[in-house]
Amino acid sequence: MSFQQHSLDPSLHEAPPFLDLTEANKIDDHGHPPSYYDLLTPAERRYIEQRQKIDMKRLAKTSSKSHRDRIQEFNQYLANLSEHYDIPKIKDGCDSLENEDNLECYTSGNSSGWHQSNPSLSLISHNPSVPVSKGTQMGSMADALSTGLWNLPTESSSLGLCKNSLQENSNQISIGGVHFQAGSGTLQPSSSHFPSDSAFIERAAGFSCIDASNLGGMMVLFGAGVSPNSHPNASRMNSGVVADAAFSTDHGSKNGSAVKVQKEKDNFDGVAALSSESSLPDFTGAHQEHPTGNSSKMKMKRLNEDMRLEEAKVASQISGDNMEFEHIAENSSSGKQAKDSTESSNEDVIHVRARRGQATNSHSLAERVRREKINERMKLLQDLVPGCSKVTGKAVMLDEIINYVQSLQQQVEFLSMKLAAINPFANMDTEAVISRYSCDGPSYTKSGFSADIAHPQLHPSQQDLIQAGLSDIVNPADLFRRSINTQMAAVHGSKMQVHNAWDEELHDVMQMAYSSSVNLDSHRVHQ
Amino acid sequence: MEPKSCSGDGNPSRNLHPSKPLMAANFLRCLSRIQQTATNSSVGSRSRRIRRAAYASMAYSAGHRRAWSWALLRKLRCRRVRPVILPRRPRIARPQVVIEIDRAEVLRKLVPGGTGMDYCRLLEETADYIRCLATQVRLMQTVTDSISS
Repeated sequence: MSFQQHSLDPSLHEAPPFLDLTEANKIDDHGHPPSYYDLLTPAERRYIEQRQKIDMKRLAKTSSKSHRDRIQEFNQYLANLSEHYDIPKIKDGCDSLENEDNLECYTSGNSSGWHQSNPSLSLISHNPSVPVSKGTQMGSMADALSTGLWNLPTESSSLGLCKNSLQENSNQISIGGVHFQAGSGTLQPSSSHFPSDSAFIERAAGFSCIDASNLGGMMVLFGAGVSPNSHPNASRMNSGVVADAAFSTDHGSKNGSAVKVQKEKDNFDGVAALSSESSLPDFTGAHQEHPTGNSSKMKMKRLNEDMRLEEAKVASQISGDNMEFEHIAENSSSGKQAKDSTESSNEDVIHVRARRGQATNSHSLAERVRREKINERMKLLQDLVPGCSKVTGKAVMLDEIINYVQSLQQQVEFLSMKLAAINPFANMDTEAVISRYSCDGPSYTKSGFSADIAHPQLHPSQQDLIQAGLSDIVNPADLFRRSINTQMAAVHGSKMQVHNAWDEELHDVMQMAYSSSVNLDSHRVHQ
Repeated sequence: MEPKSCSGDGNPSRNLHPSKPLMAANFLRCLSRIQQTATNSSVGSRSRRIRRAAYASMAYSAGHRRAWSWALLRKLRCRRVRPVILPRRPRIARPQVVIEIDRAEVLRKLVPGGTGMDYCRLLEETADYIRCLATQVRLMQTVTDSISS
């Protein structure tokens, strides 16, 4: 075998797939071990060359990308992913949004806090005297946590929310008073005790809803969660605490308590509760990182793993009582941990969280918001249109809606023709009509009556009405008629003239009209 | 045709609109006027007028908040100024293959004021429009029943 000139770099590190390495051991004429290149067939050589070229190109492309480019590409990829698995199932009585907002993850701030905590975290039970008093700063709490202040009784993990310790003061972070009730406590009753502290409630909810095995982690998160961020993000954070706790459970649990949590969050809206100025600086830092796409996701992942670790450790210590609230962790199957996707109704700006595995592209977020809005409206329409409860699918639904609107319009036409036909023959017994119609139970929405309407001459045909029994509706209608008569000397043809002439005035009058105008002059009417 | 004061996009209104007594009063007022003035005109024209009265009263009771009522009012108002019949362009029969019906477009044509809205808003307005229409139909039904009885 002769040496061949080749342009290849003979120092390929990877073992070429074709080579039978035993041949390389033979020493060639010139004293060099035969390079594997020589032992390849031409086809193999071509293959290797091509592969090298492709690799070079790929590596060059990859290395030239900046971090930002990578993030953007990833976002693009996520944006193009199908949302099939993200569409929440609508459960009875639950809003879709409630089901969605499960879990949020903290970013590195939490993870660092996590690491700081004593791995053998244990929880205090039944100890209301834990010295976490009012206004305790988060720093001290973190210290408390990290020093293993919390001892978990091994015999019983009776943890329950101590409602007494929770004050209206939103700065109140009395973890010491927090008990975790085993098995019994649902979240709802506790909410009444601290209505102003939605964030706290959420955390408490999170705690109460978390399986015992996760309580260690919960404590840390609780500490971490009481973040100084004094803006609506805080509430989302705290749901994130809950969520974090939630999905770190190993038990596949139900979604219900997540719903509960969300409901409570809704109850205490607009609370930038934790204005406690305590600082978890790393947490604030973490919070800032939320907008970043991939990095947050990766950190979330790390955090999840960390939490699982801790949870495993804690689980060994805590007797795994099944709390009733473990059903919060229902949605926390380890598969797809979703981020919260709520819209905070606090401000005009819509805050939307991206779910994990979804793009944080502003476009896709806005699109998702829009999609949810449209779904909401479609549900409304479904209720309105009769016989549409079983219909699923936008196209069929739209068809039904279109048919219904058309049928209603046709009915209006038909009835107007009928009215036109029968009208000249019958004296308008309007008051009877009105009274009959009003018996169906409409209620007045307007109030106040303008007494400034002049007394016009009564049209003779309306005197029947006037002399009839007075219902509340009758009077305003009557007075309208009178006002019309005053204003329009000659009423011809189209009522549109009337409308044009004084539509604004009419509007105002009508708005003032419907009072319970009992004092509305019966004597006037009877003139 | 955007209303001056649009109802918020946040929550689709689930209030107890439409206010029936308002609508009833409106409609009856118009009816009575029609009855007074146009006893001699044909059934057709009177029916047209009644129909317009129905829509007008409905739109009035809906208020200026809703886009469809606003558009409806404007349309009705402008009708008075201009004759309704516009010279139609002669339609050239194009070999069209309608593959897919754009239902949103159909809905836009049905609901007054629907052409200027995005889909989300359109759905909201449709819901409100359906509510008002249903009330109006019920009202007219009651009127005809009471009159004919």
